[in-house]
Amino acid sequence: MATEKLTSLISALWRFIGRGSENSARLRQYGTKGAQPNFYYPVDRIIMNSRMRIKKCFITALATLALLPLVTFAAEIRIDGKNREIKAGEQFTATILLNTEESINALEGHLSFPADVLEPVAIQSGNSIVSFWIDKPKIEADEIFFSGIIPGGFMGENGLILSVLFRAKKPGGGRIAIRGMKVLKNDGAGAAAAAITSDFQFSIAQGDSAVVNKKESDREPPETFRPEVARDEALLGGKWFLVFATQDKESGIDHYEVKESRQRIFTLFQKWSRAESPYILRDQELRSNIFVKASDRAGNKRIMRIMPRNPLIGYENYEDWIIIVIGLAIAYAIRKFLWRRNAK
Amino acid sequence: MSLIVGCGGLLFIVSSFLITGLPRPVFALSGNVAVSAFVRGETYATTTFSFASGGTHTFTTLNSNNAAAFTFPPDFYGQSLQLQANSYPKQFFAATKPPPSGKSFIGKTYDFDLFTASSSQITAVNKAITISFTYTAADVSGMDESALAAYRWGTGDSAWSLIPGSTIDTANKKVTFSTDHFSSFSLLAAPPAASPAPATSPSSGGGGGGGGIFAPETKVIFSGRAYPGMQVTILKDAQIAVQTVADPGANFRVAVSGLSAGSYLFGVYAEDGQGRRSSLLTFPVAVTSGVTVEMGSIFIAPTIAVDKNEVKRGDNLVIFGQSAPKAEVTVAVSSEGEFFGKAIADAGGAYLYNFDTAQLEKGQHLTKSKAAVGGAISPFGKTVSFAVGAKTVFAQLAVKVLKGDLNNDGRVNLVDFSILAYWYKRANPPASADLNGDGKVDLTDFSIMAFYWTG
Repeated sequence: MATEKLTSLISALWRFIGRGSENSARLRQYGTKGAQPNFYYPVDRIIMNSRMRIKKCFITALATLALLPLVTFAAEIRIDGKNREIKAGEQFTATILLNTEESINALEGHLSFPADVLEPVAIQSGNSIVSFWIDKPKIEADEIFFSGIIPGGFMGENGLILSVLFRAKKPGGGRIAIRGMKVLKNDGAGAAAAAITSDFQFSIAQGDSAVVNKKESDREPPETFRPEVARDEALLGGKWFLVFATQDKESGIDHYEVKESRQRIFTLFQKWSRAESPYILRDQELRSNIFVKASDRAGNKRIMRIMPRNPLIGYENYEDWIIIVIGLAIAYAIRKFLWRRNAK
Repeated sequence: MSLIVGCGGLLFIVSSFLITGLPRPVFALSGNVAVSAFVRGETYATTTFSFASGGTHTFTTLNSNNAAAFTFPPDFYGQSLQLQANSYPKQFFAATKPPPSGKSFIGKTYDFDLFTASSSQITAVNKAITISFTYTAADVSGMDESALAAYRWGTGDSAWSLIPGSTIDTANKKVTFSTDHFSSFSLLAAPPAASPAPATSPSSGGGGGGGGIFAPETKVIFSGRAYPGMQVTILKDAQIAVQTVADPGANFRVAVSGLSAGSYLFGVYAEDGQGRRSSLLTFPVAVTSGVTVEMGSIFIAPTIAVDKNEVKRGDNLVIFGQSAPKAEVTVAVSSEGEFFGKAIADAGGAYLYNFDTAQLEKGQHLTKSKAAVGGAISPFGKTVSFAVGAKTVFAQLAVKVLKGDLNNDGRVNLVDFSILAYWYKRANPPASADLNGDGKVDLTDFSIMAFYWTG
């Protein structure tokens, strides 16, 4: 990968030398193979005689060769979209992929897109190599920010970071770009790895606005998970809190809900509350059953339960007293019934 | 988990009182006297242990084939405690505390609860208590007896957790383990594994004889070598999916089932007899519905430690750890050049290599190791550092606090991630959260945490 980078750099330098006379344009563009041009040099800064330029480029190339041993590898982050020619009204998925020859365990960056022609419909991360998001991918104007970790690291090709489903709003064109990308090695020190990014160019043709996009059915509930109760003196006022996270491999997680109840049967009638991890527990005495419900975007649900650390003793639970009273009432009714029948 | 375990129990007790006049058993701290009673068809027993002297007691309320023997060390707590023991038939927990996928309860299942004189329940004691469960040959019929292990379901847990370090005596049909937490306990085992050939194949689905239609199971089977008798942990998307214990030959085989079609990132690591963890191996796996994926021939790298943090140049440095029994361990020491040495692990997998530091320059150096046995070679494991200098400083052999373990529970997991995420980009984070000590919590701190991740 480093060799490719060097080849690309030398190629750019060669092009730079070859274009010495093409200085009539106000701006000059340079790019790497397969990528959109993304470097711009003002012409007035590059007007110099050819010899000077060649000498400078030669020195730069030598310096690059000298530094090559330091650039041992680079992680490549690219955008994969199956179709670069879309019709207005259609939806398409742009997938951010990671190729790396060395183990990577943390990354951050943002995706920028032309909001005038593209509308983000959904962000899908259910099959992501990122296990936990520090910044959950979210849309802000014409950008999608993301940062997360891969415990144990990822090394390989086409590791899916996230996918974004876009809808083409109107005819036009543009590119989706990755910006501010940072990838860190799984080395115990968080050393930065070189990141090479490439953009995704597309064009939108006039199309039928009544295009119906096929919806894939998801009948699988989210993955099983293990919510945990914890406490930290320096966090959330030292209160007990709940942490949880899971994935849904098809439509993705939509939201979580939490329910706390000291009762068992009456829990059924209690309402769920929308929650995000970490969630401060209402019952700080930890006497409640805790239920965490994960819902995916297709409406499938997975409920996990945590037993209370300090469960109610039988007599403390009013639910048990109600059952006792009902039991006594039934026993009394039976006895009265039998007494009446015997009296007859 | 006290005597009154649910509404059903209450109704039974109430109706027993109404109809037969049987009183609810009442227990008091009156000395080392065992009392037995039958409640809802379960066996119930209690005894009291003196905190000053500890003691031993064996519950054999049903028969000696399913006994539970306790050894309480002196000063196990600040006051004497009453132990209440419930044993249940193995199907008792099937609905409320189901066994992990692919495993079955063996023999009896138990609730052990500790109470003070004022009837306050204690869930943890100061010193680990040793417990032995006995089982019968019939209990393990059709099961892999060598992989039998003790599990605990603590209050607040949502799954059975393997109790590390449990030992099995197949001759006397006894499993022994230590715990300082009290809750529900059981023995769990799985049927013997088939041959671990690396392959991907559609699940056969359904079994012979039933004639019913079964949906093929979607699962991933992990098998390979770790450390003999030691715990192996499988992570699914960075959370613990299943744990197992390697057999005396260090072989393990475990399935993660209940999966959806999609991409998963699995992790595998093992812990040696001294609590040192191997590096975490990760495997991205694309799972197809109804297909079983076999991840075989995993060879977990040896654990490694050194006996000195700094060694006087010319003195020997002892490099040691654990791998598979009789494995040939290659120890590499990195300096300006690289030095290699070999050691043969003993029957327990332990290896030790004496390295003469005369060949090293003064300064900081690194060492790592890999193992080979039966034609299989592990990758190099964790790297540890040591210094060569003018004096010798012995290393603390006790297991260090794990970096990234912000709540000091011995694990680096979602709880620690949540704590770190709270301090992300906030001013004045505590030193415990600033893992690289640069005064802020950023992506680098998360990367360090991800490296030390245990799930």
